[in-house]
Amino acid sequence: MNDIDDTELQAYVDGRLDARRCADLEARLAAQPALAARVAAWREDARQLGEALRRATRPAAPQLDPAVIRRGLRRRRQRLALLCASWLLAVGLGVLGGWQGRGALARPAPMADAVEAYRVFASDRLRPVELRAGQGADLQAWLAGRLGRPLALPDLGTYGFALLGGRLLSTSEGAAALVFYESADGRRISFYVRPSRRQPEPSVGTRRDGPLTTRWWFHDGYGYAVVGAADDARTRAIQDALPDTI
Amino acid sequence: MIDDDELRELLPALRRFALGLARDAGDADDLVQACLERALSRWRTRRPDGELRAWLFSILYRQFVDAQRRSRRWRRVFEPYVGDEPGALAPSAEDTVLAQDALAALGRLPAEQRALLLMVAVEGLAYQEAADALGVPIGTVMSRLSRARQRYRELMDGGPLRPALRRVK
Repeated sequence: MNDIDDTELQAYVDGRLDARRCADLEARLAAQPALAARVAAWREDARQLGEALRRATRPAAPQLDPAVIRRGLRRRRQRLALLCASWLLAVGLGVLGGWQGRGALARPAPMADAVEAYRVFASDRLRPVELRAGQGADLQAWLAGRLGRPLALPDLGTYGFALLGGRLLSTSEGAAALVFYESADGRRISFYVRPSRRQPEPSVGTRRDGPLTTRWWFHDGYGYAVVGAADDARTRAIQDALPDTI
Repeated sequence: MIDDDELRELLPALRRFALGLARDAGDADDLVQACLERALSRWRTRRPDGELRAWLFSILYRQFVDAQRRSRRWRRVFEPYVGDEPGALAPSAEDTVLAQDALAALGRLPAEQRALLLMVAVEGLAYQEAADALGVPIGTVMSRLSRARQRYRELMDGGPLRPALRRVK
């Protein structure tokens, strides 16, 4: 478009040429009035634009003060930290609650009803059983009849326990027979039988519940349990021997 | 650490630059605020030898480009309800006709030409600083600046550009 370098022209408009090149360019521009007018217009444009923007800028902007911005950032960071903390707390509580509540969701232990029955009746000194052992065959026939199957009550005399008597209980699985044996020193052991729709795997096991120990097993649609004091060696001996005799 | 007083001194230039880019005073101040927030929380990323003003301009320009990209996405969704000239500067009583023309012409330049013209011609940034702020080589800055000046001049020569008086081409 002309013999003047465009980059140099821009630099001249922006006042970025040193004095010598500036004078040199001005001399050449003098010979080209059209270009000189254009350059002057560019300079004027820049001035006008700056002026227009200065006018259009709203006067005060307190929200843009650096101190205000810093405060806002600090508040935002605090809120974020708070949010993180509350989130962590919520997760923590959830985990804790889940851990503590895990027992509620777990399946009941096998033959847990036998242990409950022991707790309720074994400590009863007045009437732990409905039918005393004195009636002998009557007790066995009565329980077997209600249970719906023949029932041979084991003889625990060799372990020092005599048959005390028995009672019937109702469970969600059907009628349960609870039989107590008592030693000369007043300790009691229970033998518990009831129907069982399920046959858990494994079908035999021993469990400790506080001071009590329970040997349980399932066989042919029935669940069995022997419950007694865990600190008594006779209890464990009976528990080991009994499943094989039934 | 950035000195607050130094920032306060640069605030008018930042607001002018933002206004020239966004063309709406409210949007412009939002841009400045976003820019300052970023600068104050990321001041460690600033080159130690770089000029504070050029660094702030580059942050603000990037915020503007991002916001524009976002709003384009939104505008596509709301297309039928939005006019074709959103964010045009509302003329106020004290604005001269010339000032309105100047801002209208500026608004019709492509964003990258607008940013460059504002940085160099209005705020007096060095070419290299503008190149750094825009992330382009200095050669691009020079050719783009030349195009911006010529286009701006054409728009100003084309007569009044206020919406009510714009000629239909």
